[in-house]
Amino acid sequence: MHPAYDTFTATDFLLDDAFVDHQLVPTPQSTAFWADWLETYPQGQTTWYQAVTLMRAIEQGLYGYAQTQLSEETVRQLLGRIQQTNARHKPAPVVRPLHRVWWLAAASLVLVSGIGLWLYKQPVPVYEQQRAALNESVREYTNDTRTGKRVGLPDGSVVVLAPESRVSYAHPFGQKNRTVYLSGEATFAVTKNAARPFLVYANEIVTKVLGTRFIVRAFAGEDSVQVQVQSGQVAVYHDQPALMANKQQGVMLLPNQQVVFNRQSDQFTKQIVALPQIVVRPASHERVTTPSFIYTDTPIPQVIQELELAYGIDIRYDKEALANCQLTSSMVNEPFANKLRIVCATVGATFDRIDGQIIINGGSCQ
Amino acid sequence: MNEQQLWQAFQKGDEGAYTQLYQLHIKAMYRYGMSLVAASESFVLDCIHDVFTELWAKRDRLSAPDNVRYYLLKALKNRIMHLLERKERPLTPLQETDYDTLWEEPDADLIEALEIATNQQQRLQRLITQLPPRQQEALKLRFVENMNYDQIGAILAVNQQSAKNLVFRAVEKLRSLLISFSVIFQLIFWV
Repeated sequence: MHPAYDTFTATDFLLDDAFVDHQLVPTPQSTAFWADWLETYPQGQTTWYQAVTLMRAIEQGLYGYAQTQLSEETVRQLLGRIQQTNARHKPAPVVRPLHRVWWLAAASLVLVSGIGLWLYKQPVPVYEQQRAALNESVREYTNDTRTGKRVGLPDGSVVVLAPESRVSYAHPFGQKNRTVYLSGEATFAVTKNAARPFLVYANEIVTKVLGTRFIVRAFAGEDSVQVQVQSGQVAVYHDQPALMANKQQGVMLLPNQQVVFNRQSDQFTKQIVALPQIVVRPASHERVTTPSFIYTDTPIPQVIQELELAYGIDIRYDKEALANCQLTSSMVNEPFANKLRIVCATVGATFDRIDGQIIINGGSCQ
Repeated sequence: MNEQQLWQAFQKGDEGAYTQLYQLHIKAMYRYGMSLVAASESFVLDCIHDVFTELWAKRDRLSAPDNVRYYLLKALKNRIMHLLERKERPLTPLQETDYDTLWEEPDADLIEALEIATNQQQRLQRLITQLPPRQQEALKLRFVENMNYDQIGAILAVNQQSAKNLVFRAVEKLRSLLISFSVIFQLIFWV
């Protein structure tokens, strides 16, 4: 049983969960409920609409807060810092962590002993081996700072090194292939040159590109290698000299896709990147403009199609079940995952990321 | 995977799930942290770093939260407050009632600020900044982060009813300001 909404003031509505939830994330059920109530109690309509106006005013006033900007660069760097701290604090399996009164102090103790054990057991990292094998003179760039470091390559490509990362290449660069060796993490923006493929060797993985933007992450102490594509295409394969001549078994990555290579199991896992970005396409013969992502009674199949086009990610769903469903929402500036959530909430569905695609499960409309 | 599954995977040591949780909530944590301590971005980022590394270190001892965002915002606030208290005595949080008398009548400064503002959104934003900080925080948690009153109470260290009262006072105050300035705001309101 719901409260006596017909006696509510506008403020009362704004303190009511059913009212506020419907304004923030409408569902078919909540929409039906309020439409029903408004019909049954026409005398309450004025107050109800005043509450809506008041709510919209509050949302508008909080818009600046809601839209607080945080650059992708900062997000990435912070994540790098977090992962490094985690890697350093990896405890040996048997040791119980000390009971911490002030956890920072205890953590630094674990840090010192942890590194000692780790260095003792680790074989020579792949990066060192590859670099030592280069006969010609070598150019190497190291990033010891806490922010990204930009390195320009002789062919005009740009490498941005994450903290605690290094890249090296033979000099002169790019006679046949443009080959670089990476330890750590870097973002690459590679100039197009079909005649000279750009190859990134990182741990056991080789990433081959013609011209594109992508990120490779391969730290010696981590047990996986990750490659993430922002634009263009890359081919990623396992660096095994015996097989390379015949066929390269690898993975093709498109924008917003990434692959994780497990160094223990030698397995590739293809995924959608954590934060898909709207793909910028070079000028093509068809006019492609980014959709506004503001919808009013828009058929869901159309919404899904616009999402697919904008992000370059395949979305599979039950076309029959959702053909007549509609969506009213403003998704501007929402991350990709939230856009999907809004669509799913509208029809009561869920979604999964599988093998570089989105699968929408279930859902129906009234 | 939904968030519950992501959380369980992360607890088992899945770094990909851990990273996804980070990506899903980092912007919300950043804006919330900055709203608490506007002065220092690097301090807020440090605190977020501390929350996530602590999470990873303790992952097999955590319980699964009903609402991950609430859990993370609360952890972030705790960390910020903990570090601030060590550095300096912060403004001791006053009882909510102390503030109300200071905001009785709209003052000349506010009128001027409203007239200078170039659009409706700025005007509304200015009205909200008129409110006591804890009322503003309660509004953000309810209307932007979509938390329930139990969660808001936990973050603000009050009970559920007090959390509701904060929002109630904020909404009532805004309503009366909008009526007072109805000519400027041109919203359709009652008498």
